[in-house]
Amino acid sequence: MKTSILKLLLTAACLLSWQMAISAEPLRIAISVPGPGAASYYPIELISRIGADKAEGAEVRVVFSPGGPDALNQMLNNNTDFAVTGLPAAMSLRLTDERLVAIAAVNDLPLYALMVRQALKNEVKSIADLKGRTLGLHSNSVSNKSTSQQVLELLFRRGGVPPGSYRIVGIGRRWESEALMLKTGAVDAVIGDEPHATHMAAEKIAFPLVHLGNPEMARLYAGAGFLRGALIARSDKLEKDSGKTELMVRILKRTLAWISNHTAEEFANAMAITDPDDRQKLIAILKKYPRQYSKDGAFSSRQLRETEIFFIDSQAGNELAQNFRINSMINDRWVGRRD
Amino acid sequence: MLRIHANNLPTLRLVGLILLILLCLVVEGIWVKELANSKARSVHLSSAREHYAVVLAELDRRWGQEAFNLKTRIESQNILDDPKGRNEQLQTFLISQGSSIEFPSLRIEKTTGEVIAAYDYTNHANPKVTLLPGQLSTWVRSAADGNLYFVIRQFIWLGKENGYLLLFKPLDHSLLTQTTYPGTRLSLWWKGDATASSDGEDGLRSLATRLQKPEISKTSLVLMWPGPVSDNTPKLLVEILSDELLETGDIVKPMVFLLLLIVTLAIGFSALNLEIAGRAKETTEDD
Repeated sequence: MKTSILKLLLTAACLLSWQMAISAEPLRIAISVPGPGAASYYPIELISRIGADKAEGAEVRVVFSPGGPDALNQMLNNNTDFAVTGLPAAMSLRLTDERLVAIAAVNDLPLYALMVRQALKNEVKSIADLKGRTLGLHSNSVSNKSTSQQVLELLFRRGGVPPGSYRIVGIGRRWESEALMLKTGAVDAVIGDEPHATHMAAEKIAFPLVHLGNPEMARLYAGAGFLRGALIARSDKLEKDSGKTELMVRILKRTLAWISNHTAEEFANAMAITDPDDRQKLIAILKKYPRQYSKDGAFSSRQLRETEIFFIDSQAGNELAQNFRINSMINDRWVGRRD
Repeated sequence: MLRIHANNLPTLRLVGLILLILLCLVVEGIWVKELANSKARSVHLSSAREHYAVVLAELDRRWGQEAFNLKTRIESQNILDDPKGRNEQLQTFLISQGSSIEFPSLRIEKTTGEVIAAYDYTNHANPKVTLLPGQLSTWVRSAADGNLYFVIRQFIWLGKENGYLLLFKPLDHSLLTQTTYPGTRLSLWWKGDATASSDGEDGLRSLATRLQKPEISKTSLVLMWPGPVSDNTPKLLVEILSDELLETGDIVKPMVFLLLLIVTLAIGFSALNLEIAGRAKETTEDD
């Protein structure tokens, strides 16, 4: 009898300690982002490096995707809790899936560049010269367009090259893929962003034909100041439990505040980039575009209007997109909104 | 002290009868509810078993076909024939296939085990794989991402000799989410651990507090992955989430209605009996 009671007590103690061990574990949060190594999404890679997650009792894991639509699919299919992508990519998917909501701004400045392979330097002088050529994108879907595809279609239409008059290949956004496809001539140009664009130019793999980071160039395209990176969540999960989202926003705000209070060199140190050349390039980009990242995650009404203009303009002919209003997918409950 | 008058006996009998009927109705209601819910659960479980067994078999078949197709496409393009340019050619070929390849990671090895080319669509998956000679597939868990991978190995021609093509398919939350249907929840178990859930990371966390191993119960079933069964074989735990067919409220309403009907009829009959008895008494007195 005594043995049975002891066994029972022991089992209960084991179960209790097991439950306590589980509840003491940090809350695991997974985020999908295009990458790795894309400057737009460095704040997400930085989270665990500066301990912004641990400070809030969580453990953030980053899952890389070849592009925005893929990162969003990872979230919609439960591989991750959140995604950080270009807001236009999320808007494209939102047209068919109302679960997507944007809950914070991450990256304020689009640094897209149309990079043409070096061997075509004397042949390609304008976008019109790329008609009939093969272009590399981060997309993998006809229905859900990545931000880079939307940028490309807008640039080309303005350049007098309508959709369908060039070939496209989904090449992902890893440096190895983009560089290899350009070097081998499998693609003639890629629509990429920093720091890859700077690397390609420095290594003479490709030259920039258009760079939206250049204010003079950006002024030529309506809505070119769109919200480049936003934290995206699922409304169905938010309705059930908003605690995780609230925590994620706190982690993000902590990270953005860290970025705004530290120098480019400190940023590069935190990213632990070992190659001195890569480190210098990163520092140069951070210094060249100081307002790249949001300071507090707050949405800007002006920027949201620009994003809507860009989206509608880039999706010419898409009736659903023409009638889409950006405010239907913005949840500024935790970060607020200005101007 | 309660004194039972002879005149109250019919009323007491009536109350007793109504209580008895009420008791029978409650017992009957509970029995019907339990029976209906049990039958519904059993049908749901049986359908889920049939459905997911077919789904697993179909996944296994599809991956086998895709593995074969990819190998033949690489061989037919002579991509691996030139040792100097094979890695570059393979990368270019696979990058341009985009996400249409079923296997996001692959490796090409010499028969000695030396890796001569590798490709990852997204994250680099490089779990340590041990396959016996002649073994075509295995399961391995990656320490890097925690995912369980199904690994298919087949011979591939390298131009002058044979090598191995190893294909990696992750069985992650996404796969289970896309496989599940409303009213069921899936989790994948391997060597005693839950590795993926159709509810994502939250699902795994919830499983950790509820279960220590996949268990068969009134609302769950366990399916082994198709193929030879061993300790290495993953198990799919299917949990039924749908509400019960009959809730207590569903059976209370008709029972109350039935009880009211019976009470009304009983009171009616009782009043009729009293009236008949009264008339009979009056007739006897008149006589």
